[in-house]
Amino acid sequence: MRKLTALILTGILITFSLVGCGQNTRLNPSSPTTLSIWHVYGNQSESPFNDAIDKFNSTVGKEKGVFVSVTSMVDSDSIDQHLFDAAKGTPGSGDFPDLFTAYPRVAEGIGEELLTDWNEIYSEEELSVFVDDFLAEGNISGRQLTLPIAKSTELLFVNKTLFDRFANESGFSVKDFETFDGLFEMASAYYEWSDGKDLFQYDDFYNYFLINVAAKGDELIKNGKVNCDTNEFKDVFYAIAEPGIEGGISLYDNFGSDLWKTGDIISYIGSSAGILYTRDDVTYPDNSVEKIELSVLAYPVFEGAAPTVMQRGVTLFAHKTDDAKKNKAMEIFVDFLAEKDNNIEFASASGYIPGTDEAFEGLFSNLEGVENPKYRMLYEAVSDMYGKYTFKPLPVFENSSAVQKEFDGNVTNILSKARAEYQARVSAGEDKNTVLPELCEKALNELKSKY
Amino acid sequence: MKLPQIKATLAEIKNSGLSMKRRLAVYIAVLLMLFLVVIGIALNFLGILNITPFRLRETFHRELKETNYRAETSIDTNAAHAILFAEHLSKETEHYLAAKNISFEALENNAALIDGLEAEVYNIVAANMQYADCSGAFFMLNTTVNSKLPEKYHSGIYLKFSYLHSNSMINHKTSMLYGSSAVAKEYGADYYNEWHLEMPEGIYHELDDVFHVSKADFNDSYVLTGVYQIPGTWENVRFLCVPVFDTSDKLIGVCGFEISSLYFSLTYETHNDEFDNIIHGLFTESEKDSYTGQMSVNHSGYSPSDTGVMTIKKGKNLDTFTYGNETFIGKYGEITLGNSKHILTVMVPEKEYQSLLSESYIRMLAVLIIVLMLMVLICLYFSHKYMKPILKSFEQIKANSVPDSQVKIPEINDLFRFLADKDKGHEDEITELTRLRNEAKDEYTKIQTQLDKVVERHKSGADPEFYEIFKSNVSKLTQKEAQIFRLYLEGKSAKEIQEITEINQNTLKYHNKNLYSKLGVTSRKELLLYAAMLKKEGGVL
Repeated sequence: MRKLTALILTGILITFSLVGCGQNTRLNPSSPTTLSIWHVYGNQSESPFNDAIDKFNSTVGKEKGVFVSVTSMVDSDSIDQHLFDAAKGTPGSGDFPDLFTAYPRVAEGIGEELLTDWNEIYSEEELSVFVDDFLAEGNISGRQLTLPIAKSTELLFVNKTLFDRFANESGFSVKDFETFDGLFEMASAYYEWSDGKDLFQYDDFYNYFLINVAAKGDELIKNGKVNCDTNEFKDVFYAIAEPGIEGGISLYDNFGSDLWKTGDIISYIGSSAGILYTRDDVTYPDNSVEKIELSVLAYPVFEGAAPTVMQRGVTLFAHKTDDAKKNKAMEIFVDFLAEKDNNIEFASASGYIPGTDEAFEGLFSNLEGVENPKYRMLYEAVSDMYGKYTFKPLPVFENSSAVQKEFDGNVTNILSKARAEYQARVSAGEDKNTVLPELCEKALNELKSKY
Repeated sequence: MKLPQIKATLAEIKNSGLSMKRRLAVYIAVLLMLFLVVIGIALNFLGILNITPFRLRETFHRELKETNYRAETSIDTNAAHAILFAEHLSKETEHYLAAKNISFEALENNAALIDGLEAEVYNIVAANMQYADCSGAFFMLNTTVNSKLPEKYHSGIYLKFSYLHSNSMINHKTSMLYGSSAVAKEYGADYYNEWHLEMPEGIYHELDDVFHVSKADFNDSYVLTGVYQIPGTWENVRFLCVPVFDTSDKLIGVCGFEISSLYFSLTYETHNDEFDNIIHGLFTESEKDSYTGQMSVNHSGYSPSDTGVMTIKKGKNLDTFTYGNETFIGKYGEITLGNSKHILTVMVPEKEYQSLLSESYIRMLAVLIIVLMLMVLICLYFSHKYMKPILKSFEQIKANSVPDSQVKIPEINDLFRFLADKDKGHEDEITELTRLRNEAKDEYTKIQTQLDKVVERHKSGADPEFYEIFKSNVSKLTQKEAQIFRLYLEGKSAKEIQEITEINQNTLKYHNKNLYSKLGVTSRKELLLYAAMLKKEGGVL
């Protein structure tokens, strides 16, 4: 009797556990676990990352019970504030996503305690599939807070069709884009030649100073603060300020790919992923459209400076959770993205550099395999830079996201104000050779005064 | 319990029948099961025991009603907004034209004038985009900067929120999809990646159609279009649009709001406490029996890709929707919004529907198993409890002892009294039989003693010479004579000896004569006497 009672009670317990607990910890293909994601890959365009997500959802995800839902697509600058707001629960900011792509600088603003340490999901050996330098960028306070599913660098995009028209008449050539000295000289000449159009835009002034001060042997950020009191900074500032104030360098406060659409600029430096947004045509005010040829060139270097370029590109963060199903789902999704062919497919369709060693080698050892000639040209430029350039990531320090944004804004505003003053004074008859150095110095001092 | 033991138990049950304990357990179990079945049927009829398929069906009906109401209210509010938007734009355009002292026709092929008008109405479009439930707003003009181009275009302003990540659009950045780049720069709007100066005809067909309506036909209504993909992007959008007429009822443009699929999914996120997989959809017939549309995000964050075409198979209770590679189960209903007909769907992915059913059945089965197990346990407990005193008493009876104390069960006590009385009768009978047996034994001893005395007395009267002859000749008897001699000694009669030896009377007489002659006796009495003497001496007969 006692044996039978024990047997029945055990049976009841087993039945309870099978029906109740068992369902809550395992992924179920019939009732997929949904992961929300905010990302920046292909916002406002055909997104290769969305294609990768669709592929995941219809294959591995479907089989294993994971569904990735894109609930927002933002650009890599704007996503910072959206994430800070969502993390704080600011009204109207939406639910904080399970996964998101952003620069490591956002970790501090979100709160590192809200972020998953990928070391808790992956072993050191498993993480070693990622490119070491890329992985190191996401190691913050000893915790692996981001995974480099893809990275990018900065390249120079040139509207060769319109540039050739200028070059044919001015004597400049594409070779002049190899150095900033040549580029800025061309910018001034182009401004004259085109009756007031800018030749070039640098998408992030912060990046320009960060890289080129380093290329000249100093650092922009010292002890977590912007340092403008160096000769290296002054050299780099004057180089861009002159054409910026006089004309030739765009001071538009958005992406260069915007002005590219209308031919208002014919070159810009931006992320390699900018190729997704770089049109093959120019629209004129009468709505006529001209097809153009694109050139993608290596990052220019100041004469005598060490070739240095930005290692940029957002990485993948996860919202820390105790939900075992979500953690498992994230692991499955990351495994899918890190798989060689998937990583190459997604990265090479969006101008990114694959994040894993295997995919990186796979792409750069077979550039002929990149079917789109535009993209092949881009990866050839990147390939040329590997081995010659030092790749420098964005530094992470206290409040770095805000400092970067503020610095960009300050440079744009100070130079815009100086340009307006320059145009006014020259129009009023003042000698431009006197006004320009004066305004450059004034602008530098104003910028210095802010740090 | 192993299989052989079970077999043995079953065989025992077959031979001996069920024990009282098991019999009682079975009766209680049957009774409980009957009771549960009756309760189950009653609860089901009363709707208290609602299993998943029924509940889901009811939920679909309820959600469909609510969605219908919500869609009508939301779209109606947006439509009212759009009509006011159109009136505002009409006035502003007339104001602009009047200020320039030109007619609307003068705008054609004049980029500067069109830019000026766009700059004039930019803030109206941007403000209406903020106020309405939408992801974008537009005012496309019935004119172009270049009528010589082979394709037909419409100038105007089409603004969108740069990014969507919640349904709250306050303080979101603005992008320009169509419109003058100079105006975008002037107002600080980003260029949408697929920005174009003008909107081409032939992409958004239903929107194009609105450029050809007359005021009389349109009657202050609106058009809610189907879903279109913005070329070169991942975005799918539908439009709520109204024509913009000037005071002479001439159509000068079309304005309205864009509702992107992402905005729709975020806005119409479903929250059903009971079933968190329900998805709402608003679809429009694109071709015969084929629909395109937009779907909400369900409670778990899932929303199907909106790039497919949906077909519907109407069912008796529930409908089946095939959308791209996915199948859904749910209900749909038709709805007229403005000048166009649409359908609303409330559904769950088929896999999840099947999973819900399976879960429901598994739960019911689990409950049944647990109830059954508990029932068995209860039955065993009560039958054990019930039978325990009876069995204990039986054990005591088996051990030939009187129960220690009376149990509190009258029937058992009566039985024991009855058995005790019966025992007493048996004991008296045994005593009597023992007494009779002892008396018989005494009588036997007495008779044996007397017989011994008679033998002794006969022995003392026998002739010793003849006795010696008898002794020496016993061994000389033939086989037949020896058999007959032994039969005489056993006390058999002549008739019995004839039957045993199968001889007739004369043959017996013949053997008797020889027997007597050989043993030297003259009568059977003498024969038995000498035989008894020989037996007493221990001789062999």
